[in-house]
Amino acid sequence: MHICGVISGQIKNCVRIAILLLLSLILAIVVNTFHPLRLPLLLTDGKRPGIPVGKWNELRYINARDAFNEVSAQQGILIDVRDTDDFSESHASGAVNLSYHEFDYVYPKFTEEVSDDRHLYIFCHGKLCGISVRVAERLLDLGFKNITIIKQDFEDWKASNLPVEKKGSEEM
Amino acid sequence: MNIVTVNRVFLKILKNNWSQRIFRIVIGGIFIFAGYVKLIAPDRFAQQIMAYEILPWGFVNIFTVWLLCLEILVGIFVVAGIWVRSCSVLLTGLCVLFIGAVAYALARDISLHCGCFSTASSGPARTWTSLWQEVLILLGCVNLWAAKYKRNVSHAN
Repeated sequence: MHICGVISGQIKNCVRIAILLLLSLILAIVVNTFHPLRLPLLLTDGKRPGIPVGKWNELRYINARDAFNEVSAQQGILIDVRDTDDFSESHASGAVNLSYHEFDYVYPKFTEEVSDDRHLYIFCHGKLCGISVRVAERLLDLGFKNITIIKQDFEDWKASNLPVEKKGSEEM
Repeated sequence: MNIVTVNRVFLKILKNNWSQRIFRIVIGGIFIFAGYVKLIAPDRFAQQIMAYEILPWGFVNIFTVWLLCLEILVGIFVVAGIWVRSCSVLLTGLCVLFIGAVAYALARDISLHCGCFSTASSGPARTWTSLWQEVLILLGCVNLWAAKYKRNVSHAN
């Protein structure tokens, strides 16, 4: 009798847990729908998590070759958000280092020197690198309007035979 | 007063109905607060979850919002005294999940600014010793479950 009671208690417990999990999932969908920082719940095309829907619409994505052409034509600024060590090892010619990990220290100088209507082209170290979007998000918050993310990042830049500067050597 | 007496008094306080109620409100309140402060900026919390490098990117956003709503919902149920045993099992599971995730990241030398009670990235980075807060909450959840379990068994008998 006692064992039956314990088993039925356990089943009741499991059902309640399932109800709570389901309720919280429904609540999550409802809350997210009306949240000012609504997140895209289903991410496709390798989109980075943690970027609200509104921010996605403010960003543009192009490949390295197009970025190179646009930077030359529109006098845009290439921004490399990798760490300073990686940047000094090698970087795209003419790129400016705005390290994600040191962003809080370097952005005041950057915003002082660069006007917010300049075209910014951001990239990091690889195609699975999410920090370029995070820096883009911070720059949008700081008032910059023309921000483009370079898809495939620095790897694609090198693979496309675009100019690279290496430590201790001249431009390649 | 020797150690046995202190132990007895401590157990008496723990078993007391009122202390259990206060305990429930504190534990539930912690989860409501933790969920609420992170739900204000779910984008930042999603980025923190992404930094753990455990979940595939496609699931990070939905998991973030769901986890925060689960924390708040279960916290409310615990404070209100509804389904406390089931909720304490869930909260224990959440604590184990948090401890496991932080430990996994630390073991892989990933620098974390865990968003346990905030989404600020300027706070101190997580270390092994900083796990004490999760362990403390875990003990609280287990105590909540044990107290309710004992009461249910004694009622069944």
